[in-house]
Amino acid sequence: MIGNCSHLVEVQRSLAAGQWPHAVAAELLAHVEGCNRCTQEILIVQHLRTEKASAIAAATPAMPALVWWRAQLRRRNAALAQAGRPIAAAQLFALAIVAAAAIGIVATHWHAMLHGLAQVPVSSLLSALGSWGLAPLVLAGTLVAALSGLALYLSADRQ
Amino acid sequence: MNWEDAIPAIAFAQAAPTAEPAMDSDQFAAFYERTSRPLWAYLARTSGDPSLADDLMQESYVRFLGAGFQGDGEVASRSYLFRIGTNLLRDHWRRQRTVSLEEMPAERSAARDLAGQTDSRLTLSPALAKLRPRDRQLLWLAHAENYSHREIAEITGLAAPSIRLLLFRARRQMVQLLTKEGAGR
Repeated sequence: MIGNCSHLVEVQRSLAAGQWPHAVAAELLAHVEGCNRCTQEILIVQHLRTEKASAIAAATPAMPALVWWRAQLRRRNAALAQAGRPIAAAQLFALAIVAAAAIGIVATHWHAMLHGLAQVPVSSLLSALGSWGLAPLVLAGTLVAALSGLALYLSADRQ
Repeated sequence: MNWEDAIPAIAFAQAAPTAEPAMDSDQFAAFYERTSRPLWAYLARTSGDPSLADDLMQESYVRFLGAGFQGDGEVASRSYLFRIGTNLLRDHWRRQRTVSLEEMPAERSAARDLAGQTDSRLTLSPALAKLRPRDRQLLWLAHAENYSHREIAEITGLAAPSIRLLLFRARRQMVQLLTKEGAGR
């Protein structure tokens, strides 16, 4: 049975106020003697209060300034990690563009490359690559450099 | 132009850990003085491990400050602090063992102390030591800290309607243990 006793609140109040058992009405004392629920409450509360008092006496908390400093340090580290996130995102974005450009070049010149490899000697293949292949790569590299610079500028601006 | 305009999902997605503290250092020092010992008592008596309570208490305050909790007064702040401590304790037990806090036998949580530690601050009463950690938590919050069932539910993360039944069972077991302890003397 979980049900409460009608006098329980009164008993709890007197326990919380430190009035039990000396400063409570005789009727309440008489009630508690015959009430299982109130007896349990008193037994447990008194036991836990004793435990709490001994634990509080044994506690040796660190200086609040030390805890404050630790919290500030962690906050600063979190802010730094947060500031680094846009740069990492920009780098990832630039890498994706380079990869897309490389895939695009291979896809558009696939047949020409196969044809050239089959018919042209290695020495002239390099010159052919120079004639049509370097321009998109240079373009992609310039784009990456520009985006990285922009990312750095915006991150610094944010700070 | 800022990065959060260009890439809103990435930039500042995790602003919470760097939130401004809700109190200055002096206010914190006063709050710490009022709450650190009761929090330590709760953590030490629930875990049965004073060294662990030292660590978890500090971590609780660091997280409390990091969260920038804007509670409604000291009572709410204190309740929030106990919630952080309770979560840290639960995480610790989860990392240490694969069983849940509810299933963990009382002897297991106190075994470490009995076997290896000689911390003079460890003076768990036999009755309290024999209770399961969850029962110790509930009884402590209800009877040593005077939290209501609703507040206990918020602190422990348990469903509010179940607190009454869980407390009833814990109380019944503790009374049996205390009675046995008293009879054995």
